[in-house]
Amino acid sequence: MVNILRKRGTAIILMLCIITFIIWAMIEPIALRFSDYASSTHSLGQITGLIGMVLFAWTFVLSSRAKWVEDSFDGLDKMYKAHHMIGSLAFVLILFHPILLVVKFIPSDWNLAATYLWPSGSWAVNFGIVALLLMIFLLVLTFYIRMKYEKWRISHQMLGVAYVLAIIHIFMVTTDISRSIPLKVWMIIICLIGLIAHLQVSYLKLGKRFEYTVYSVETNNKFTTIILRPKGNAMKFKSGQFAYIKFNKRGFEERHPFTIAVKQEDKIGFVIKNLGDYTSHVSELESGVTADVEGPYGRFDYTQANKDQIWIAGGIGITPFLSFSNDIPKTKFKHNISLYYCAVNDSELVYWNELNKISETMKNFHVIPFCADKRGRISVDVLERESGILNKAFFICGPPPMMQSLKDALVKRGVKKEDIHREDFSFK
Amino acid sequence: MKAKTWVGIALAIFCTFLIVVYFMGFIVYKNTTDTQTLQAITNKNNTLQVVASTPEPVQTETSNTTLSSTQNQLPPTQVTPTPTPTTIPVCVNCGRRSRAS
Repeated sequence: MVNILRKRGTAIILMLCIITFIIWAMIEPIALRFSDYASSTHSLGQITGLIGMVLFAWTFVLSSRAKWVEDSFDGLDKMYKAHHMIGSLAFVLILFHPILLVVKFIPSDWNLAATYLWPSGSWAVNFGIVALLLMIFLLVLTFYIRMKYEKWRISHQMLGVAYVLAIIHIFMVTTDISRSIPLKVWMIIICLIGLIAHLQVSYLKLGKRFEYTVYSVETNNKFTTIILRPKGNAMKFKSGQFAYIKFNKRGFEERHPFTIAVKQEDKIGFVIKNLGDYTSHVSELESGVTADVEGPYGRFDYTQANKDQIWIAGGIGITPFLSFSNDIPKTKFKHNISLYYCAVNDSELVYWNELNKISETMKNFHVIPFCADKRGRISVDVLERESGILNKAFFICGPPPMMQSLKDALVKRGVKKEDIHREDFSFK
Repeated sequence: MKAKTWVGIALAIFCTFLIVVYFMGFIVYKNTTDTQTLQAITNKNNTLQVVASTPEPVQTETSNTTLSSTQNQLPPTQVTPTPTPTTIPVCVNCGRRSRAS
């Protein structure tokens, strides 16, 4: 949360909320709006609805993968985290909007309070009620029901319907928006931006796309490496970045993000762990299948820290470091790097030989295997003892709990937050 | 705290609020409906009493019950006025009745 608040993107969202509040406050004096119990709860209901709607609109912007949005959050992974956080906040505010509007009738008129939240002859209110119920249903699915990616995507797309109904509600209902032209114009702008972003995410193309074909597929029981060859222009990218891939084969039409772990001339390679319902089938792909590659994305870049570094990879989180380590000889990076490669056991150390070879040729690059069956879980004590942690930059990629616990422990030991870089892969 | 947790808390508050509001709303609505029904019955009874034009309706302790209302609706007793006897003057000398007074 604190990290997110530091980002420029969060400042933009905060500014949007403040502007909305100021325009709303200018319609009627605040003292008058909060003069007694009834007017206070009514005003709170209004402002939660308005700000909730602004944030709701912005969640669509935060899922648009637009370059300026990614830049403002310092990476797509952080942008999706913000999307998750802002979406949740919008939902909570929108939930409290009807509660606060109704609270003013309680306890004097329970009957009116109950009928207020019941569909009636007012279509403006009915649209709001349907939008809220649809939002509740879809977000309960998102938050609490584990679904396959495709079903999850459709349910998330349906939030656009709730959003459109909410827009109809706020412009039909007789309230501050209908009374104040500045507020109406402001909300039209915000709602339109959200609507365009939603249409772009759901129905239009996102980001730059490149056409590739599958060159080779190698697999063992746990990992699959897919090498792609460009059909036309090759995608330009930095080491550590990732791309969304969609294969034009039945059952592989879903677009998934993978780190570009391997670069061989103009060919690119992805190392995929056979984990989920999609990834466990990628080994069934064969050469010649065309692939739609969208990207590149990501700001996980070891060259941004000009000091000695400790890289920590957990499981398949090794992929950006594979890309980094192939890049070290080219960038002639002078600082010392220690790569801690954490896995359950030796058999999980994918591309171990390749990493070792690079380590043998580069004096400043050391790879340390850290298998849980022999050494347990990696800790800051180990890092401090073996490599030292002060005045070093940390790059961490792995399971979210591991990254979080390491980060917290490092901060406790005096490592600056800006020296800790992490790549989250837990977004959908 | 995870977003999932505070969204869950907000949902729980929302659902509890809805349940309480609807429950209380239902109770108040039911009471109001009962009162209105009784009021309508009472009004109807009063109307009938006015139509019947009884002298003063007999006030009973249970005047709001249907039974007593029915008792109040009994038609008033028709009282036939007793004719006043005509007095014929009698002659004080001969004792004969005389038409002329």
